[in-house]
Amino acid sequence: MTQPMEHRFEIPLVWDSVSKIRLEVGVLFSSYIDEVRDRAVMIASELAENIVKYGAVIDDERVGFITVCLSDEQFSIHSHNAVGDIRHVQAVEAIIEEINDSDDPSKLSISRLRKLIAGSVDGPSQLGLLRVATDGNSDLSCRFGDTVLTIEAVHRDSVGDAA
Amino acid sequence: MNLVSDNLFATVTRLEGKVSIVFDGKSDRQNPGEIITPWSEKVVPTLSGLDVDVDFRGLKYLNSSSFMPIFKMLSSARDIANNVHVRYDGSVNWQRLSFASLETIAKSWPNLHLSNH
Repeated sequence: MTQPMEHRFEIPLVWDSVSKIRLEVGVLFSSYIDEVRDRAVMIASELAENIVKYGAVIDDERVGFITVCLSDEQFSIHSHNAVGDIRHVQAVEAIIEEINDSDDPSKLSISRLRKLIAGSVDGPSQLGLLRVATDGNSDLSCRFGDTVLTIEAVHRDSVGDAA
Repeated sequence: MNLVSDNLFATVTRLEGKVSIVFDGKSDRQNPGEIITPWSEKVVPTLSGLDVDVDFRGLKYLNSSSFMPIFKMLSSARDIANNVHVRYDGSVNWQRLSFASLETIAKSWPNLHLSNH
């Protein structure tokens, strides 16, 4: 078994960063089966969207980071970014807690979609993190300290079993 | 009545009581509702009593922010149309996973049908 590899991508807080990370993660996972690659690309894209939408200046730079940890068996994708509005952190913590407390996150996702279609949701849709948990088949966690929010998505299956 | 934006396109074709809406490109804007919703509000009222075919098979990518305006458009369309037939490509992983949610929601929408090929 080879050592896990860590790849760190800088995400400038501009919308073009999102399509760029999809390309970069697609290349990184090019030797994996389509299902694994598609999940990794989607997870990185959704986390990068959060960085660009809610990220703030860190060390005088308008950037966040996506880190991909990849081994023979598993992968995980982390986002790191400064946050200017604590309400975003609270919203992320709340949806991740709701996902982790749920027996079936896909039911949560469908319930959320129904409410969005009915127009009965105020604030952000939160569909991105729900999609990471369901379509991305990943366990989510987050932590916040020194103004930096880290969201971690750990793919549940072995990458060899994902087909 | 076609949708033309930087990355996302929808072509509307009318023929003998039927309307075909074919999506192409990718929907990955920060706020895709800004593009999709105004277009939808123009198109949907013209679908009254018609059979409507909505084809997503050519789409390359949908971000999660696109789900709500697209599913809302389909919900409005099935309120006014005779039947709405949604096509997606079940052999494409992200399409199969993304439209699985709509499959579940559409169980309570009797005149909206999905096919995955």
